[in-house]
Amino acid sequence: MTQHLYEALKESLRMFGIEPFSPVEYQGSQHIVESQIIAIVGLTGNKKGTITVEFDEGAFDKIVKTLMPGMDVEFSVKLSALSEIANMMSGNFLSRSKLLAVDITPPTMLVGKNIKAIIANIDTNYVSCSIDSGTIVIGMSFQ
Amino acid sequence: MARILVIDDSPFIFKMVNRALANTSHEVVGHARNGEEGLRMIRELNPDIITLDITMPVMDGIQTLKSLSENGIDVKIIMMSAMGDDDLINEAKKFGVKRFISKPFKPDILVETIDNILKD
Amino acid sequence: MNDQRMFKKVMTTFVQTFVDVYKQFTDEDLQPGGLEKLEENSISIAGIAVIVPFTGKLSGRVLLGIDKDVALSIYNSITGESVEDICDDVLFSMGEFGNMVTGNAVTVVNNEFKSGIRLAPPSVFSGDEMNFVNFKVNIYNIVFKTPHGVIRLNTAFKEEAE
Repeated sequence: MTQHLYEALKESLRMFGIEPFSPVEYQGSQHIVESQIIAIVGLTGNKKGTITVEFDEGAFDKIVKTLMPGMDVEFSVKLSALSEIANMMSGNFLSRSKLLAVDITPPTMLVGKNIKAIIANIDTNYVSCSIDSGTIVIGMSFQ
Repeated sequence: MARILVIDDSPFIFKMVNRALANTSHEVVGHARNGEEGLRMIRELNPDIITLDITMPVMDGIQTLKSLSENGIDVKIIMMSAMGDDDLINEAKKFGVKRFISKPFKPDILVETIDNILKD
Repeated sequence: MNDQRMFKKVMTTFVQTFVDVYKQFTDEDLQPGGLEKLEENSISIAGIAVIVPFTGKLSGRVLLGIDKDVALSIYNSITGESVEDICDDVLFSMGEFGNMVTGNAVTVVNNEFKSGIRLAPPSVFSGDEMNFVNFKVNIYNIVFKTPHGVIRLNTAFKEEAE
């Protein structure tokens, strides 16, 4: 399942000419997030769950510079690019994983510092990868 | 007096049930966080009544009802859910469940439901 | 199916359910403020935030912004404890609170409109400044005043769903 997540992210980023590398899969006993920019996507239907996509500063910069080169745009517009990537990745993941009767919710973006988060208190699959000097971490848990 | 096992992934609901029954003759004997753990604890603790959440990880409430039925385990059941819509209630009724409480519940409603189910 | 009628029903049901659930938790009456449609696509929350995303004939998310003291009041009122600071147990309880509000409201709407709205699990956050941003949605906000602080009921609906 985690492999599908990474492949979905890879395909979504490739559409914009970004190639992620060095994926690392791991598991945790809680679904938590630690970054300052996070996309949250809900899974509903036969399997309920949550996908989170965390972008660090390096990943944020890389995506913004690639998608909007030399453009002076508002932070909100930059954030919308990340939201779209999270949306595309989640949709792509659903097709790859062949989960039946499962839908994805629109992404909610969260920006802030020193945030404590409890997404779920259950076993969670993570995959982290690099894009340039930045890191993206995807977390996925099913209720 | 009834011995009650709470099967619910939320520790908060366990606390709610505990508080609701604190000054009654009923006793909460345990807390299972999913259906699988619940089935094991039913065998170990032999409760009179279980409160059973519908949406839980690992094994949900409907799967738990199925497993109880397949294994011939006889225990009185109170289903608890915030999502008390008709489809899920009908699904649970197929397994003979007659008592439903929607979350949040008032303490006296829980006590009344327990008292009634003991008379069934 | 009249989507506008369903939307209005969803909003009134969310407000009524919120008042009912809060009353059951705390035995306090809540007075909802007016419903406002936000012009911006973000909302800033200090304290605790619970997000419950949903899909169906309407898709989007419910966001509860809860002042720290309100969260503690709800938690202590239910458990009989005297917790003075936000801990994991309080956060879990706020997740359950959000789940109950949305679950009960969606049940009413689904039963009336066969709208097939389905909920994702709640996510809970705490922090001094959290900005939640959604795109291609319409966002509505209602503020509830309590003796301990305020709770914001903030709903975002995907644009084409209305």
